Amino acid sequence: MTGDDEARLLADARRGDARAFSRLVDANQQAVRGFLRRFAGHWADADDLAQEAFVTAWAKLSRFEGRSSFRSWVCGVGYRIARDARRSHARAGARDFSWLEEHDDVEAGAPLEDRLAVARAMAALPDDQRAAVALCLSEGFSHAEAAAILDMPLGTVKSHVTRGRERLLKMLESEDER
Amino acid sequence: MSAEDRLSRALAAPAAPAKDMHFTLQVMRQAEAARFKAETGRRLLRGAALAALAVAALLPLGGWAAENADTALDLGLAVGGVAAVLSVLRGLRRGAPARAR
Repeated sequence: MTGDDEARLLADARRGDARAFSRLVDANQQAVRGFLRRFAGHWADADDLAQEAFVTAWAKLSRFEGRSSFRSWVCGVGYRIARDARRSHARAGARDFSWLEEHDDVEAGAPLEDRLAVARAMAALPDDQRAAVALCLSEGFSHAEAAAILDMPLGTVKSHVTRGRERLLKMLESEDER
Repeated sequence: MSAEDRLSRALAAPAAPAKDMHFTLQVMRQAEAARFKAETGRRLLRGAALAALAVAALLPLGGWAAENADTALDLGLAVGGVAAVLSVLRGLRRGAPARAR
């Protein structure tokens, strides 16, 4: 979807066109669900959170100023919902990585055991670090976009990504030694 | 393959399934339910505000009726009489086509 298409759909959705909004959901659901799966850990929770993020975005669409892409904005909405939910319900307790088996090794481009090891290592990272790593190293957002999504200074995001990557690498190497 | 490469590949592996129409439908269903809830809440608030206004408008009338009981009674009887005549006329008009059949 081009920027012009997105702007047109956003304008229609702001006027209450549900079909235009559903096209926006369709075009951006993968990025939002992917980010929240990595952040929340539990895929069923992550999909519920992603749905909540889109519903909230629909209700608050008039507040979207268009300074970032719609995808970034909804990821930010989803991040805040997921973070608050984790704080109030301690959702981190139950983790489920079965969603990693959805893609076979060839399709995913990495063996399942590596993906599981990285998912476990991601779960051990602090929330902010995990969110920054998921956005920048997995979902392809730039550091500046991630800073806007997470509402953090650019330098903080860069250091979260660097430190998070180092920690993941150490955990992967220590898992190999076992 | 080095650990660096393995990490990069594992991080870049897709986490979400391909586009899922069911997900979009669920979102739109929830959005519609949320919109309906908000609209119902707004209607309830509007109804409550109108009722409060009506009560506020009728209170002075109550005060006047207490002070002028005789006039209020005459007025009430007159209004009741007019209403009764009107309802009889309406009943007759409704019954006319049935009798014609």
